[in-house]
Amino acid sequence: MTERWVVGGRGGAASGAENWVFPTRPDSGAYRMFITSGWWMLLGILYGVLMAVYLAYPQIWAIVPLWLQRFLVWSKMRELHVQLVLWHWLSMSMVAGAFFVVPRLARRRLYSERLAHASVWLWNLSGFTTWITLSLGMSRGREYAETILPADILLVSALLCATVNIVATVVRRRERQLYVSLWYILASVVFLPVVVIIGKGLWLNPAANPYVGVYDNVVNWFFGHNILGMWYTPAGLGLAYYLIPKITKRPIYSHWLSLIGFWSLMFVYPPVGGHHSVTSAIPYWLQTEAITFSILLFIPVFAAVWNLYKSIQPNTQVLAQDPALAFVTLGVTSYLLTSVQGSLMALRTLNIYEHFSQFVPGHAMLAMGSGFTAITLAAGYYFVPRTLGRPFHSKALAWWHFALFTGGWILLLLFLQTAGLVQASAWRVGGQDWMASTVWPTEPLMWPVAFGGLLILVSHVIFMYNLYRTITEPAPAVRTRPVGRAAAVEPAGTAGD
Amino acid sequence: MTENSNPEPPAALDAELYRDSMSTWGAALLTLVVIVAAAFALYEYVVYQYLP
Repeated sequence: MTERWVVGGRGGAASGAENWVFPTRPDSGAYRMFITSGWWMLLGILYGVLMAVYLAYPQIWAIVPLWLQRFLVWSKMRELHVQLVLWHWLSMSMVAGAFFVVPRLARRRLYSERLAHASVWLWNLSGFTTWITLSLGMSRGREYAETILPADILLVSALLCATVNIVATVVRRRERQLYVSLWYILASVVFLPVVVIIGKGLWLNPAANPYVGVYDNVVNWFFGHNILGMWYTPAGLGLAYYLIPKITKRPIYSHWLSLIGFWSLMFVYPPVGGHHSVTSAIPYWLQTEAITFSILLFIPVFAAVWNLYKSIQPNTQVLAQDPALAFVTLGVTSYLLTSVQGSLMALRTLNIYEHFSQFVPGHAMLAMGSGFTAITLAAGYYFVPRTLGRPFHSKALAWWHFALFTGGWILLLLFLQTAGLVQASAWRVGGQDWMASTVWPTEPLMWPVAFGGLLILVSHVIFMYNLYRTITEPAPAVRTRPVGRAAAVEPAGTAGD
Repeated sequence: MTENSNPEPPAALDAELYRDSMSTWGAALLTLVVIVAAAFALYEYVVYQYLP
């Protein structure tokens, strides 16, 4: 047992003889995955802000140079915004969190850091392929599944590398008990490739749309909703269940309740995709089934949120001390709000009203942007210092990040969903053309949406600057602990594990 | 509903920190195979979509 964890010698700065492309330092895969995902976050959100400005002031199109117009067509920006933020920021940062959490809960190092780095390379290459091909108009035109086969091959391969790595780590674990985070993370990485391969129909017609007509709609929303429900939700909750007890230094409120939440989620979530097609041409019974299961979602949602809130409750003072806990609490709260909203939006009476309006993107952004992004940011704030062996450069900047992020989302969501209700009202009245009922009445509401988006973008720039300074700062004094006695490094100046 | 569970047992990871289950060549080969497959798919896509 002569090996020691050395502060500053892990995932961050490379040691001299290390292979830079496929290093084997513990946590280096998680670290690199998280750092590179930040770039996709900034790029994806930039597209979102441009779209909001475009909706607030459509005349701005006239001053966009001609050569740039072809890349900033609305439909391309929408696809790029969704794809980059979901698949290359949120998914990568969640996998980074999983690469950090799973070895600790399994009491076994990650099955292969090299395989993790293969995943990092492929995922980033998939991001560039997505960015370039969608900018050139190469798209399948299916919501959430726009990318063409080359990007799909890279993405699915990256996913499978991560899945194999995580499953193999758990299989070889030394801890007999599977903590609930492992249940959630395992479910997410096993379900996701299945959902992607079936949802995109990769084996049917890889070059174009694999399904046609109503079948396309049904499978598209099996895919579109289950990447949210069977990937982002379990992966995000898995991270939250790890972060909250670690930061507050208290066990979770109830292990039993956490398993009720997990298994009910697994049972209830898969069939709800049809609620995106209420009053459409899909069979009526399928719509009713989807609505029923959407309401049943209250069970896993309340079980998880109640458990996480009750785990925070004895240590609410830490909320004001640790930005990571503030972020994860914001994420859990957004998850609660979006879940209640989503279940109710599935009801026919409400669905007829708000469907197709800006209310729905607002709902999705409450889940992904404010909810699970906040949880993965909390994971970053928690594990990057522990990977590098030093605290974050500035806690004040972290709080600025939190304040601008939260304020930006509140502003954006309030006005975007209000705009959706305005559109829905106009459609119920009827008699107006598309622009008069959809675009012009919401223009004034879109300025606060754009401003909120700008606040979020600025908050993430602050985060990336803080991250950059943390990475480039010289390592503090070395403090080691013998392996076999305690878990890894305690960075000086941060709350230890 | 107050049963406790520890999210992380107080124990360390492997002592052999830098030993990996996969060789560098294995990881590189895997990555390259996927990249070649994606490049071929892109070639096919462009040929069928854009060329007469």
